[in-house]
Amino acid sequence: MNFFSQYLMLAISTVVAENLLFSRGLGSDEIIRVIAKPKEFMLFGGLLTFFTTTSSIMGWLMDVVLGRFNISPMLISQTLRSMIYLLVLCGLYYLSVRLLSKYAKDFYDYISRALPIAVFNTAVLGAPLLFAKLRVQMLGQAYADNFAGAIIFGLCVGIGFLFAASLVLEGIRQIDSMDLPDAFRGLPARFIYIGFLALAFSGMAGHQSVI
Amino acid sequence: MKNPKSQNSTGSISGKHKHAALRKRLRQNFRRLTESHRSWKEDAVRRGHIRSYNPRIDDIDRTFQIRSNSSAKDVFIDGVFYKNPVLVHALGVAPIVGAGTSLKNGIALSILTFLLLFPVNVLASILGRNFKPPQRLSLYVILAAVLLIPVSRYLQYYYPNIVNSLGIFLPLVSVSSLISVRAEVFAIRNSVSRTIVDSFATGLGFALVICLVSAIRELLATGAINGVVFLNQFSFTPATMSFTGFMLLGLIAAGGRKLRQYAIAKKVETEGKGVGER
Repeated sequence: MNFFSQYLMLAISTVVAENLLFSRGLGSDEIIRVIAKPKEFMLFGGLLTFFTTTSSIMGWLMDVVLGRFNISPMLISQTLRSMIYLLVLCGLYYLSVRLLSKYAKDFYDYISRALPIAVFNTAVLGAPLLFAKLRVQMLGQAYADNFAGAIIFGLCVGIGFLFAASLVLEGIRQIDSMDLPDAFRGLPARFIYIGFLALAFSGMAGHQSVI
Repeated sequence: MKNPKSQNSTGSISGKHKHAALRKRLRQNFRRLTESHRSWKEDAVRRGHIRSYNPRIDDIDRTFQIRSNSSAKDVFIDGVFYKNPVLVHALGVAPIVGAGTSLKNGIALSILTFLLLFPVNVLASILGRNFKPPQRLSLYVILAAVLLIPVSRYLQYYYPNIVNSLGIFLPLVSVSSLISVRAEVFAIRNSVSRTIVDSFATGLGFALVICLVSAIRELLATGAINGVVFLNQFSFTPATMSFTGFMLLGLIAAGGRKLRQYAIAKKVETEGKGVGER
């Protein structure tokens, strides 16, 4: 039961309190770009969830491999680490493009525009890097250093993105129908609205410096 | 109708193979044209009319240029001011919001971004046409990530404090949407020279915004910018959190738009109609 509650805490904190968009601004470009086309956003969120899960599992696997060969994680810099993640993500992306365009042409045509943005963005690459940081912080606690922990973290990053995007989308619908000054219409109003949401969510995490 | 290819060569095109045959004929014409152009250029070099001729770069320059009469100066001013990547297209927001908390960070991030943006965009404009879009998109990211490794080693050696304060946003520069979107939208369709101008403009536009935001946030958070005290005993720590970044970006975007409208109105007044359509 204790184990379960720990996973629940991990899930809630990644979806709500430490939401990647509101606490660190990761994926903000994509959110603003996706919201311009509301029809694509569920599809995009689904794809993003898949890739964040994969990437956080990849980060966990990499630490397992490093531990097997007795290499200190400190030896491998974050840039090198992220390059390896990117190489794997590229392979995955290319494979999915080849397979889908061959065997599921209609589905590929449907997702082909959203797919590259869903793979190569700050949220997908940020998830394993953040999870590695989290594991260093939670050293000794079993749930963080676990395959299930990696899956839950990755899934919740994606769900958090969908949650944030739907909040922003609903707010922007309201804002667009209001009488705004000309200079604030569109993008500036979106920035400020996301800022207010981030202010609201920062109360849940408490006062912490970013990064 | 047994062999459609032989039918195409005789001239009567029909049905499914119509487009393929047309495309083939177009390609042949295009190749003939470029070959004649190439031999003409090489003749010109031999005679001394032009200094040098590189078929790969010059042909791409000639054939794939977007037909627009905007000069290099216009491209530059567009990139920095009228079509600022951050304030108009919302590219590269994540590093500004997440890591733009002090002026040092801002300067480091803008230099880093430019160091990756410039080679990726130039290479995209020279070679990008040879690849299909999925390959291209992954190549931008991989190239940026590879370029980031020596740069980050240098930073780690000489400025370890900056690496610590950038945190995860140092590796995230390689997937910044500024680089890949700019390469895919501009560099692919334009000549090398215009791409160089555009990448300078994009880098400068990004640098201006991130330096402004990070300086304001540092001033609010500590009362000083880079050690120079402006506000004595002033400290508003929430300025280092992400919501301040979003709100400042919104305010700056609105201010920029107001300035833009003012500049366009002034231009229309002095030069007549048609200027504001930009």
